[in-house]
Amino acid sequence: MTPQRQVFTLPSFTTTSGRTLKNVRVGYETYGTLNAARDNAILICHYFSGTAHAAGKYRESDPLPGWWDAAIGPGKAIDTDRYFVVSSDSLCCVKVFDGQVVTTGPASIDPETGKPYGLDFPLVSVADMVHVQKALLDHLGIDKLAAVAGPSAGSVKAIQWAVEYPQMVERVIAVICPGLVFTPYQRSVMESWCAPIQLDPAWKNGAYDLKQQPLAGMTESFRQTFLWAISPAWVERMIGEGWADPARDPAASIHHQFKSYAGIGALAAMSTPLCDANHVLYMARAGSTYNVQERIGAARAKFLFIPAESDLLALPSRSQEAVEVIRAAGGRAELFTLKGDGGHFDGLYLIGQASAAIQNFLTSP
Amino acid sequence: MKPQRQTFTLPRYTTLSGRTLKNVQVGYETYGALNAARDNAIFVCHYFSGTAHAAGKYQDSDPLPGWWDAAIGPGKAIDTDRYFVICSDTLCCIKVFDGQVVTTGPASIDPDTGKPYGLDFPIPTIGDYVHVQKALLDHLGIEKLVAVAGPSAGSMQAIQWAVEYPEIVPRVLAVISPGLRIHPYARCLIECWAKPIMVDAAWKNGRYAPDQQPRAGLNESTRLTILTAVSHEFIASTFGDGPADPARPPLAALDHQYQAHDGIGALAAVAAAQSDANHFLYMARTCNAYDVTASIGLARAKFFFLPAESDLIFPPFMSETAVGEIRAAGGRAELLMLRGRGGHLDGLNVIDQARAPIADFLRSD
Repeated sequence: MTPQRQVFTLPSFTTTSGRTLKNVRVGYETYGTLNAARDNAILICHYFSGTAHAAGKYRESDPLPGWWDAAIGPGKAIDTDRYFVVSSDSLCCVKVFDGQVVTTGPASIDPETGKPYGLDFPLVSVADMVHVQKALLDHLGIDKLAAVAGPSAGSVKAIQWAVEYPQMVERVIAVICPGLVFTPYQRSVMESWCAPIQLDPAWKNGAYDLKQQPLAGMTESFRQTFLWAISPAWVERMIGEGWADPARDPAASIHHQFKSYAGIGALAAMSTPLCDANHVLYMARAGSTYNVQERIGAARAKFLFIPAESDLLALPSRSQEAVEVIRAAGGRAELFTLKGDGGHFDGLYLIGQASAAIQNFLTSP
Repeated sequence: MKPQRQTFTLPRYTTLSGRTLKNVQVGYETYGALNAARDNAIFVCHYFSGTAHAAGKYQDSDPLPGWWDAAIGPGKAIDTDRYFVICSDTLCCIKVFDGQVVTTGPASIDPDTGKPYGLDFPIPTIGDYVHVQKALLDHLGIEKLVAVAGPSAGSMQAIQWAVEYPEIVPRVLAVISPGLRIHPYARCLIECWAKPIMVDAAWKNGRYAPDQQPRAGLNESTRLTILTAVSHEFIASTFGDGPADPARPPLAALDHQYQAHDGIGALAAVAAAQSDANHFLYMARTCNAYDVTASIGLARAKFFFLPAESDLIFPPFMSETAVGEIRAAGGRAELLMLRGRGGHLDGLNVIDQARAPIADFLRSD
């Protein structure tokens, strides 16, 4: 399955905070075919450091397919023989430099000045991300969605969709979801991810040259993010005990390292050169300000929450509570728990466990 | 109950890594009275950022008593009417500047140069901590302990005691313990705590002046430590959910913050003002190098593990693993789960739940 990647441009977009931005662009990919009735579309929303590349390979030789290939494809939970799947790069998408992503954020050139916005770019809300996606759907001539689905921060956007456009969203699939609002603890975790970037002198209060990113701080940020997204069992299995370098005893110098710290850092740092530091900060703040608790009664969708039992970041109890709140508000919500010991990432890799549950959910009224 | 605080000086101490240090000093406190037979002593070891001030108040006007006052005192789990309790500041104790602590570490003056050691100070092991404590016991004329007890990093020292001096230690009370070694996941977490200090330019590779600490990094490191030591429920009930300043909405600027993140930061700043950054790095590395897996068979003590069910740093499975390993090595070990939603710090705060089982354990053969 080869993704079709294109770029959507909004000549003018006004944020929920009231700032009007010119020439707002986001990339998007589609999989499958839009039917004649234009009513078989499913919108996929990406996680914190994800992109529109949710499934398939651009070329046979790509080492890995898109991030939710386990969920999206012919015969899979989200069956591209049946559904037309749309996935877009969000505003302030973190992976600005991955060679495919098209996004608009602090690293974009301000048409007024000819220079990157930096911190002059307005902070965006999850609602802003959704409003841009809605404009994309309008552009595609789609006025009804079979579902909006996403893992983690993608589930946040999916739920926001149901609240912003109740008439349009029939179903929401919220995988490894933090709930209808982040707990103060989760928020502080996300703000802590930002701190190493802001401590790095190369950050320069956001006014760094785009080619001179605060890499040390960003690597620490991603290491923390990654650590929260995995689990003790995952580390045992994938990395293990011991020293990073058998010749450099960590007890001899604080500059020598343990294998788990170095290994998680190496995995986390693979994406560092693809990312913009300010976009990380903006994405975290968009997450922190998400809150649909008071508005969830406006949704008309039915919800399927899919937590992962060993998740340390989006605790399964948060999905359980969201189901209860939605039911108490008169809505419909179901829960399916992924079994596994891999932590938050199980929402990406073990989603196949929920294939039948998702298929039934999508075909039920 | 008033602690008796004193200072113990070792004219020379040679670390397990082979460095000889002159004039090694640590402070210590005692509670209760040593009996005539000198056989009623319990040694208490402090946690990561703890000090010898485990119980009581120096003056009635002190706002808070010592950190394990819930466990130590007349009629409490560790009954000072019955036992003579000793707690010492460790080597490289973090709270160098709290006004009471006496410790030896990177912030100490090297008698050979007249300047702070900085990173020239050797990284001690938990074995070194215990050897200095043993020298203190020799100085006090105590040849046999009733028990060694401690929470978190204190439990590592207690278990190390049982391995280093099997004839002296008949019982070990290991509260919120990592078990016999640090799990690679926890290791990465603890290294992540330390990293904001090293990202801060004011750290200067450890060569800052003691009154010019890398304040921003140290605050952030301390904030991360506190965050992982508590829980979602603790943060929500202690700090609440809103913006730190209603006039500064978090969606308007990156430096506007939420109550929880600011609140933890304020707690962290108080602790960090008493701390030395290099001592923080050394303590993290010393803890991370802890591993008694291969030598646990040397211990003659019986062990009592008390994990806290909501602990995110050292989750209960680590204590359960240790109990299995000690039994497999032919030793005796029991476990009692502390109930609560407060996270790691429940090992300090709800320890009174275990008052009777601890008292029984201390009297049992």
